Amino acid sequence: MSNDPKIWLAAIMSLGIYSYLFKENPFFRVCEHLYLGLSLAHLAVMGWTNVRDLGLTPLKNGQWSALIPVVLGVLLFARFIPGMAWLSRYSLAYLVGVAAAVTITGVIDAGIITQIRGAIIPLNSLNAVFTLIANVTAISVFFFIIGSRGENGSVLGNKTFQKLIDKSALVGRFILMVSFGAVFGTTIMARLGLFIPRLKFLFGDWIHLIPPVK
Amino acid sequence: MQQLKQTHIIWIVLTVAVLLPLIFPLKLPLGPSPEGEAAYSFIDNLPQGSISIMVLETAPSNEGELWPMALAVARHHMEKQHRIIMATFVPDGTMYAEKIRALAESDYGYVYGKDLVILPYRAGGETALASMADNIRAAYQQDHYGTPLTDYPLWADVKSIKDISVISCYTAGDDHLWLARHVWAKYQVPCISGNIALSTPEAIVYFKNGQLVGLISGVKGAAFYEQKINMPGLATQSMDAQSIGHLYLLLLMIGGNIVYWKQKKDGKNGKQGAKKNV
Repeated sequence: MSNDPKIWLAAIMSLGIYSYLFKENPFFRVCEHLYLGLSLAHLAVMGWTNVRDLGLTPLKNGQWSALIPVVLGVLLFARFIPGMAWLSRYSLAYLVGVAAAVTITGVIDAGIITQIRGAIIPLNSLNAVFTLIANVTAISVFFFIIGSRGENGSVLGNKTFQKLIDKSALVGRFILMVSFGAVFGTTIMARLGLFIPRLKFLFGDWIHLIPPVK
Repeated sequence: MQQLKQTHIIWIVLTVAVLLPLIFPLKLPLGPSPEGEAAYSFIDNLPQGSISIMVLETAPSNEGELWPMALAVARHHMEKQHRIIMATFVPDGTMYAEKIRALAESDYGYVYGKDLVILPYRAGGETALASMADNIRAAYQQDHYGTPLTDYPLWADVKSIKDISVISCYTAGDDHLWLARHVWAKYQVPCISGNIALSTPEAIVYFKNGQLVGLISGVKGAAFYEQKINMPGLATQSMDAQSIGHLYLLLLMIGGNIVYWKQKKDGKNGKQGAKKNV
């Protein structure tokens, strides 16, 4: 067993958190509150470090351009002063504007054009044919206007076309189910990926049952 | 109360099923990983002295998946004597960068500043990465320890992002999308994404479209990479447990469905009873 008090503390805390799987208990509550408190403290320290390193230190060194983000940051707190809440909108507008500008420039090429180009492939393999069918049928699930049935039939009035869309949407639904299944599978993989290292810590680092790996 | 006991049994069996292969390794074979193979081949073919950036978006909450792959790729870079710049946009990232630095100095004789540099944490996520891609020298003037980067010989060879041979990220978020948007789309600098398994269905599309030159996905991807570089480590150790854990959950799903359909067929509890047991 480990002689390191830090490992003992971490192991006891881990057991405390996992004890919730048995039932809610005071030991779990203590560990939960400690965890939350530590997380908040970590967040506060990181926040202060950011303000100090990226705002105050440059100002102290005469970099006056740092004043702009500092002022915009301070203005965010104006929300808490009833008569001056409108001032925070300038900061928010700036944040949203920058985020939108940075994202949009890349999304059009990387997220739309290249993805469409990637979906247009020569039909020279079974995989390519399946990809085409999967793409078309999955998209047809979201053809709400063409596929919707009003009291007087479809919006376009073309029942054959609507039937075709309906059938395609049915296949598309199965394709979507398969993709949701893949996401569920990888979610399980990710969750086990979190659980296994904790077990390795408890049965390896703590009680030395699992051999250490470099 | 009956259901509560069943839940306990499920958890206990899962723990035992995952724990036993960790104590007594089964050495189950690993399946192929074309995207991991692509990442390995790309790095393996880079000439000695190439400069790579590793973006370590790793934190304690995801280190089980991301740390083994970051470590494996870092070891591969060091084996090939590539120069490494480490950056991060999460506060905990520099902690892992320092671990890689310690390994590089002790096992590979790397010299800080000449072969390897740690850039400081930058807040801002995608915006910070975009500014690094647009003008890396303006985005960073000092390293993680506050020393001017111009003091280091490695930095003299970095004039812009185009001097970088490959950028790899290790992330539980959307960094692979950011790389595709701001690094590949604008500057055609090759990118590799190491991400948690959960992000794979989304990230793999970017690999298939050529926006990422490689993809390392979850513990399995990390284990595959460890096998490729002949250094079985943290991920390889976890893979048996992962496989047995998956098998157990699969059996639970199949068993649950059989019970559900049987109850429905027998009509023991009626329609509502079957629904209640789902």
